[in-house]
Amino acid sequence: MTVSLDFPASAKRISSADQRYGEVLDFLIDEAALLDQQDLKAWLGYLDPSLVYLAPVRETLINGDGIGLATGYNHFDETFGSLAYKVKRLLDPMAWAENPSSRTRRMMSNLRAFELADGEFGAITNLVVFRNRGDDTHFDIISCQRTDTLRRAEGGTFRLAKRIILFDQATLNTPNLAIFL
Amino acid sequence: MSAVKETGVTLSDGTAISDLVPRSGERRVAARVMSDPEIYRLELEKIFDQTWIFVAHESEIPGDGDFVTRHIGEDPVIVVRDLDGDISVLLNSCSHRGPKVCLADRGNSATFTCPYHGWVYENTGELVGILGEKLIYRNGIEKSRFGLKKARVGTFQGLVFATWNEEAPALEEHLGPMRAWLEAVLGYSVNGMVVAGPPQRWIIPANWKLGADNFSTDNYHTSVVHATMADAVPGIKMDVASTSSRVHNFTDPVRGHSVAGFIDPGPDMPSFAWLDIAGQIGGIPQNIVEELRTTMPPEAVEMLIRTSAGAGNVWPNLSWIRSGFICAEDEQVQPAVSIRYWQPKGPDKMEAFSWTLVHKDAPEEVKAAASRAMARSFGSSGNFEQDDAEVWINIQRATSGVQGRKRKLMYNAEGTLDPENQLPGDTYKHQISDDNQWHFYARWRDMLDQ
Repeated sequence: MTVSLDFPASAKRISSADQRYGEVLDFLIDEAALLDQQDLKAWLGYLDPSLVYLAPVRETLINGDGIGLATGYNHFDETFGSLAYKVKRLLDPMAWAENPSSRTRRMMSNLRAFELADGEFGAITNLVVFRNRGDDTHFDIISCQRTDTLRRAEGGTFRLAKRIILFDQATLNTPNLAIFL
Repeated sequence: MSAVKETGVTLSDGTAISDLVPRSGERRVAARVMSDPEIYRLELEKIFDQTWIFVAHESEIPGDGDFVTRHIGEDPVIVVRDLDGDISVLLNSCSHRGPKVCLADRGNSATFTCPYHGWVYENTGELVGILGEKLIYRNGIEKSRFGLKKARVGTFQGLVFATWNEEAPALEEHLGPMRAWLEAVLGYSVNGMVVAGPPQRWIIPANWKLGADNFSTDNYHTSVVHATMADAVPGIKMDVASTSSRVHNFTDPVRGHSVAGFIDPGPDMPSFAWLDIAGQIGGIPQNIVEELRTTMPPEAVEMLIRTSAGAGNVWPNLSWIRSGFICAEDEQVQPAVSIRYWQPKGPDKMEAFSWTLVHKDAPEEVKAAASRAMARSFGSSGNFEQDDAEVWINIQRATSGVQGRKRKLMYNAEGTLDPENQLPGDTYKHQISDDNQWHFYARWRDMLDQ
């Protein structure tokens, strides 16, 4: 399946001066905070039941052959159900990959917001995650771009309906993706 | 295979290779093999430069000019399909001054051009173009001497291997009885298997042998490391007390290949009764299991049951995992197959490669479902592999200090050789034993001790 990192031509860019931009930004900032606080159960509440969550494998290609976004295999290939399953696993103390947990800090920026059809919103953001474990002074920097589709939820907030993660590496320099992006 | 000569190779501190993995007595491996830079360099010279190393799956380079770039040890290579359908494995280093002539992970090209002085090579390796040849080499130059260095190439069941060693036995001989297992795991559908996409690649800061060792296989760790997944895959819950388990392990004690946990039905067990278990553990699609129940002759069923082999390692570092997986509540078991490769990147680091293989003739939605299940279960974000990586990193950290390097790692849980084994190689009864892993290290010792 080919994924799109962008939105259809009919999507209208929302300026940062627009109030709705701030609403989208607040939602994404709150989501990142939940993940840094490891409040995975609450994070599930930010996700729409119809969620598609993909992080395609990347390759290095000669210019002109494309940006190196693979089809057919992904680093993350998830739905709400499979993410809920992962969260349940990670909350078990025998999920050794994250017990002790990683300490993470998500640096999110460069939000571009869009008005989509059917009252949905688009958001493209840069994300850099600092990840450190144990007494190791080594840390991982995981950098990516996220193309999100947000759906309005009750109380004026949003739920994440789609996320396509564009990693900035072809070989990931982190030993596992036990954390979410 | 020639007899192994004990040549008594020693490290610079006087330690004999045969001290690291002894030929007799207690089965213990010196922990320093996981972190010693001198041992690592010996591995590059005596293993990666000498034997058949996996470089690609055939389906990654289906057409004329298709290539991928990989490594054999620390040497970059181009794996490329030519006009005649043959595969070349070329050292990715210009014969002139050395730079890589192919800079992409994947692509299609009839030629490779060096970015330094513009020398041009056919994708079969021949040097065909020297920029300004007559002006520079006024006494002439024999281009035929300066092609890209070519490795020997062999393929088996879609797996492409290469070796620099002209004296190495043919690939079929190197694989030996492992061929039957690879046929059973990869070759039971008419048109075989293809990759679902390019490999996931990620860095695990641990020695490459920890990956190969684990898949050789370590059946003991599953109920502890993968405790959170006990309900997700049949066979994870380990009955430690069981000594009458029908699950056996296969090993080739000379070549170092091994297969984990195939089910031996035995004479008193109706073969068809095992099809369900084979289907679940072996990752065989349920519709095929049902078909086979009515249509398959008994000998074929027996072979298929043996394809429940859920994991294995082709010496030295090509592993596979095949199983049925549950990845969400209330979801069906989804079969999937992965081949994986532990690329050495220094003594304390590996680059893990993981591919999902799918049946070429399966419908698209079945292929996508298998790819999805494998991504969710193994690989960079896999529910199982997350925890494995963590353990291997911990081993690396705990065995790299002065005391750690003096330690010996224990591989002395011995299974019982099956005296009725009809298969070539050895099979051991009991699911849990260190025999396969010990033979991995024995082969390792034998190759370094030459």
